[in-house]
Amino acid sequence: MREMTGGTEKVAVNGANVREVIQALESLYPNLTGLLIKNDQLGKGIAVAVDGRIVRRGLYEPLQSDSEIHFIPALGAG
Amino acid sequence: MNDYVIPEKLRVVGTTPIRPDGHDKVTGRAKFGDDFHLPGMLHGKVLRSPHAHARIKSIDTSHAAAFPGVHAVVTAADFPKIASNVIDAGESGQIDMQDVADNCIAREKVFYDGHAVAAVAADNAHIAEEAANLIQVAYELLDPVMDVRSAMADNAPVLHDNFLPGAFLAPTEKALPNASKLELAMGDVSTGFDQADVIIEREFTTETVHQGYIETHIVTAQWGANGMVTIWTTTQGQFAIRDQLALVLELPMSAITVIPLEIGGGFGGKDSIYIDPLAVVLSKQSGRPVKMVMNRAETLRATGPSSGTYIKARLGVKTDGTLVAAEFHGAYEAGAYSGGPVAPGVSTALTRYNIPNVKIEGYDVLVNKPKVKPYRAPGATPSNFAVETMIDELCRELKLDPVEFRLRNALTTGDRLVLGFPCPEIGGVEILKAVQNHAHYQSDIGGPHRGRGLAYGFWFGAGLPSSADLMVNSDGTVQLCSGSPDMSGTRITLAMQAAEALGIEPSDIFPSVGDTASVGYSFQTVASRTTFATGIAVYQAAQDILAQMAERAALIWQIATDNVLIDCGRFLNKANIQQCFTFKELAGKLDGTGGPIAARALASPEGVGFQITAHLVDLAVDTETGKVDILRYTAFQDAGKAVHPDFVEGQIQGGTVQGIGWALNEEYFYDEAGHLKNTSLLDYRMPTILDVPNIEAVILETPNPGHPYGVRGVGEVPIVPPAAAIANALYDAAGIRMNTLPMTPAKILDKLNSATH
Repeated sequence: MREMTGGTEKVAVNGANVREVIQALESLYPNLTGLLIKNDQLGKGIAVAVDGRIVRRGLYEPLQSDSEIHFIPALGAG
Repeated sequence: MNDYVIPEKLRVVGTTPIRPDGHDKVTGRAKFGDDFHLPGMLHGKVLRSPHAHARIKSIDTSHAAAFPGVHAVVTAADFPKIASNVIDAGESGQIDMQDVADNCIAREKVFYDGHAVAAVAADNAHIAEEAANLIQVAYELLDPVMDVRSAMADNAPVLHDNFLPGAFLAPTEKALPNASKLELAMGDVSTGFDQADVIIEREFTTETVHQGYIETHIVTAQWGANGMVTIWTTTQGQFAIRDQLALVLELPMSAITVIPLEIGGGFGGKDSIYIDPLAVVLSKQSGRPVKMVMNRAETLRATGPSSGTYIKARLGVKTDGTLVAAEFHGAYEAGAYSGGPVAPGVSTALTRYNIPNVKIEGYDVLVNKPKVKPYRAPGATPSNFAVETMIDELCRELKLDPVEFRLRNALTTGDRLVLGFPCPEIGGVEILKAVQNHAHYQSDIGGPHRGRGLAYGFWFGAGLPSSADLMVNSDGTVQLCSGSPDMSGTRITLAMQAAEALGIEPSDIFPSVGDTASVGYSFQTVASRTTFATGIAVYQAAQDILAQMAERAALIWQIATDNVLIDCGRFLNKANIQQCFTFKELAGKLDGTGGPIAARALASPEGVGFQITAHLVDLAVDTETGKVDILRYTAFQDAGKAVHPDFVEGQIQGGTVQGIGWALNEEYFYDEAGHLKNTSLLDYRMPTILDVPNIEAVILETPNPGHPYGVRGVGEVPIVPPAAAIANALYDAAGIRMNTLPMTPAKILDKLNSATH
């Protein structure tokens, strides 16, 4: 994602949930939606952390006005 | 999500009651996969590829089908040809079900020695095996590629012509023939290395290893007259088996019932289907139930081991011991189909240290070996081996104490992870201080060619969905049914959490593991998650039970439910505390107040407590033979809250022993043509009781606020540091720096000889 953002590590946008944040990011970084969303869901292999927790509701995860979100690789375990 | 308020005092959690399944297991009454039989049952056997990489030209099953006693013969032609369909397999990452189907029975190509090509069902296993050997397969041999660096070379043989290199977020350009790439970064490594006073760069290799579960894969399938399929199997996840079978066989999930039997070890390797769809289709064709049992050679050749790796890492440090920059490049075998443990492997490589500038590259590499599967903290042991031995080298170069060095750089609560978000509550500093204050660390090692090594390890763990049912009996006992197979004593750890919540004794709770038709969906018993995540489902169901019980007390006393006080298994009228029922007394009144009470909870917890550990080992090395004897081993681990400390200790000891095997002995030996040469446990050398001393487990408890009792997972992280700790002890003992696993006597002797010449 750093390549898409030109090396910017943090971006502040508005959104009531993860989907709205991605939509807001799309206006800044075209094609981001296509990378993060597949078949109207968060893409396979991608997890999202909201305020320090890897959350389960994907695009529908509600956000606070000061929420911090990170898109990360989904991690497996044995 | 809010954190739980963890009670200061717990009545049941933290004690060590006898597990309810223990007696049956030690007396042989418990039903494992091979203990299951059905009337009229046939036995299935698989014909496997003798080649590591070949195109299937033709298959002639006529001789096998005509063999007396044979009832069915199947090849890939008897299975639906399914489309590509990538699913989230949680612990296995993302898997394409088309690959899973192809892995169960090869369609156009075989991709590894042992790949299933056909299967036979017959009156007994001997007939089935003889008939399978009558199947004639014509192959066009192709060059195999057996290690990650060869597979990533420009002229490497390509396994899958249509391979689309996947990567985090997006398919990458096809820069490498068999590999996908993952990148993570934080800060600016160039600036970081500029600030460093000492920089070291090292390369490492590790070999393919197997989980080594003693019970192999065993399944019995029955295709019912109504088209309903029933499976009895040994598995880490009955729902995963059901769902994968449904997708591969194009059946409704509801048409398949998977009944989990006891499991004789899994460690991540029993999360997927292999012989299961073969047994189902053989049963359909023969009209009889079919049992299939993998022998040891089949298990080693054709089930998912853990990745061999190539790692190159670079660390930069200031003279005061502050880590300022790190680069980590890890190439992990995926096996024959993409999707190995590269993400968790590289993500945990440095996570336990607070390093401001980090760049990580991971490669998921196709090779002609079985598709890899998770193995206890998948991917973390090789990456930890690399980084922790480099840390040891830096400590020696800077003449810094290895604990002090790690304390200086330890990740603490709130520090940024390389994944970007802040670290939740973590007790790393407490672990390292416990090492420092322990008698083992302060003792003299004594004797020549003896050495001591330390390694520090980290693992994420996971939450994921779990369900639990509770039902109150009229005598006050409680039935507990979960969808989580019991691999490590989780029947009792779940019962203890129910008992704690309900205010009754664990002996009053009967825990069981349900089949897919009788309990709510649960993800596999993987990722150190059952006591944590299923425990939360149990806790939530218990809160529901208590609320329902309070309503009944209120009904009896003719008061508002809000006026019922629940206090440790008692229900009291707040306005008249002389009015009181014990849990048992109130249970006896359920029939007359509306009938029985039951509750179900489905939880998908997010408050996962990370796992952190440090291992300290003393060893002696025989400089004439290269043999290593482990003299003393202490493992320090944060359990959050140890629900049953004996079982936490068992997990720590078990994982450590597996890590010792990975460190010193275990590896797949392939010849140049890609044939696996060590297909028995005589030749695939796992540690025995003679190889390991008592492993002292030191359990620390930094509560996880994401669980009502503070629980963290404990099962995976113990396998992470043993290889590095042993390598560091070897340097201390003999002055040799090992950069390859396993560290066999031959390799150690070579290093010793090189050091003296």
